[in-house]
Amino acid sequence: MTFFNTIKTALQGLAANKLRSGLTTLGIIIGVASVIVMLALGNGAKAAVEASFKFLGADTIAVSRKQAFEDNEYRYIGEILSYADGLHMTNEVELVERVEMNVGGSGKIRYGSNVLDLGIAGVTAEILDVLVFNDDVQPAGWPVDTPLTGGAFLSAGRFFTPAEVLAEADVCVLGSETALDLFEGDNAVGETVWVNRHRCLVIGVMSELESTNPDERYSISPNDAFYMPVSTAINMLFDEEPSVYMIARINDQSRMDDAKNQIADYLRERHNVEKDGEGNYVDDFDFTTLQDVIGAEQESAQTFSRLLVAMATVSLIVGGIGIMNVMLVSVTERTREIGVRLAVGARSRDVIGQFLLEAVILSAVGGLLGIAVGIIVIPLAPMFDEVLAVLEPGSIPLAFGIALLVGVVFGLYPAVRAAHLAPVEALRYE
Amino acid sequence: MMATKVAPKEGQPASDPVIQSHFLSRVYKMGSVDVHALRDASLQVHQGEFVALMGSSGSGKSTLLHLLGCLDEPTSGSYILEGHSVDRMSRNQRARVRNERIGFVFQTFNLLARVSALENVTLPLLYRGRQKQVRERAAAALERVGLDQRAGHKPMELSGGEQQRVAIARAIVTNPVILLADEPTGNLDSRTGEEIMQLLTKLNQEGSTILMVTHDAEIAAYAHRTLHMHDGKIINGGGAE
Repeated sequence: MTFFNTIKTALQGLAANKLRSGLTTLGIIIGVASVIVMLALGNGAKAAVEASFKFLGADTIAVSRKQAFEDNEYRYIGEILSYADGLHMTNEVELVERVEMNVGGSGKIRYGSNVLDLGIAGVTAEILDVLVFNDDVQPAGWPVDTPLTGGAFLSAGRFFTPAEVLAEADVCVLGSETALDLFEGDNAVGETVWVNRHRCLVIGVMSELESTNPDERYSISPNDAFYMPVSTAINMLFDEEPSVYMIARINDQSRMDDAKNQIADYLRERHNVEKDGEGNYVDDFDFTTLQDVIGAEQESAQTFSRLLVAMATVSLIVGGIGIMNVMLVSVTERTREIGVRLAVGARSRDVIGQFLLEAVILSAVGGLLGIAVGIIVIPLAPMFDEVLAVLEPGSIPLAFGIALLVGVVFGLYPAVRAAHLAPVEALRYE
Repeated sequence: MMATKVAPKEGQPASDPVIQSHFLSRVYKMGSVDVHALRDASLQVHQGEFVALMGSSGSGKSTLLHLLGCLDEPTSGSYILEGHSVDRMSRNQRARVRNERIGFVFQTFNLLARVSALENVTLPLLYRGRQKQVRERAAAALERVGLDQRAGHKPMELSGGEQQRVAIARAIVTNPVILLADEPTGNLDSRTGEEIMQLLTKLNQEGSTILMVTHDAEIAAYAHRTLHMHDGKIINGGGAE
């Protein structure tokens, strides 16, 4: 029998029992929808992390001072992560290519009679590259399709160099609003401002920046910034040496774990980290990589996912058994028909093909409806649990494939049973 | 095909008999009891013959018809259809023999209820793989049984006689070497039964070889030759006269 005729025959068989056929697909619908939503949750967790940890690339390890939970609160333990720790890391640790450091402080900025209380960012010279990479802010009115460049973030002067960071030079770069507030439109570059009684040379002014996300433009103001070399900031703003936040860029992405171990060894030596009673180091620093964060976020979405895996499995098995049941009933009801088909020359594979195809069509219809249900349910997922669900495009063919597989697996037995009926018995069946 | 051509024996007609069976037996197991439904049935049917197989219910006539139609396998004995042995054929080879060389007509018509008369007639052709002009050939078969006007109707919309005509059209659409009819008039009133017999007679005159099971002597009278069966045996010789 040609494939077209087999399909036609199978459809006629199903059409004869529309309600029964429809109900049978319910299990498949739920199962397939669960698969779609489950994968969307995993995908959503990943997307959420990637959005909030954009500053971490696949080749970076963030190093921060460790907090431990003691006496009902989080406290920093051990030594600070010092500027010197970061400064020597590049040379001492084989896999580290460079270290970006930053420290946040605040201070009084004065020029003439204008005084501002500002948050001050002590950063390394790569900050412009980082701004480009992060893609959170852009010069106001930057065309959508044009790639950002570091230079575009400056409207006047220049940014400080690595040499100036090393030399703890008393230089600073102003956000556009900061410059406007201090200099009231006059040229700022080359002027000297006071930072907590220290003199500081203005070497550059940033362009007016806006959030790359139009929805955030009114809530985030990136223009009241004040940048200094991290080394200078430590000198000028703090009485005690502060802990520095570091991002170590690794020169071999495939050896992130090795890099972590190397950095740990380096810091343990510098901080004289000791072992506890069980022989584990009591580290006073923490590492964060993109993979860690994604893993943690996915883990938190996993409780929900596990429930869905269970639901998907049970539904698909129940759905499959439903299909098998309906097909067995159908084979029994149509024994006579099978007998007639055998009598006029249907071979085993013709009969198997006919009934298997009916089962597969049932599961395929269930699969398609299930995909539709899944896509409808995805936006509702955050209501149940505070998670983000984003449709994973690959889950559609996967879920459909699973549905077809269920149809084949559970449809095979009834089909084979139909094909192996003795023609005489089948014709005699009342 | 595994079938082997059997050379004609001396003293027999030049053409092979269409049907040639030797000592066909069929034993059913009913629990621990063996039921001998058919014992050593030997018969020959030649091209163009119209043979009736008569006997009371349980005489083994239907069992014989099923064996000759390759719907069932004998416990012992041999069967040669159109010169080819059918004895050691696989299930699928038997299906092919049924499809290509045998046409069945049943007492209860056995039409597919959901599809039209024409589509019922196309069924054997569909199981032949890719075929040309399937609908045209089915329509021609319906015309031969005088039902071309009712081709689009479903079995439910047809009278008993019309349904049996559709079934006959389905049996002849493949030009089988033999038409096997199992009580073709059993579910019909006598007048309609007569019409069906006239149709079978006409087909026989046009060249179809027919073997028909019946328990009705009046119906058997349409045949050229009648074999009587009793208790699983053919009681008047099965050979050609």
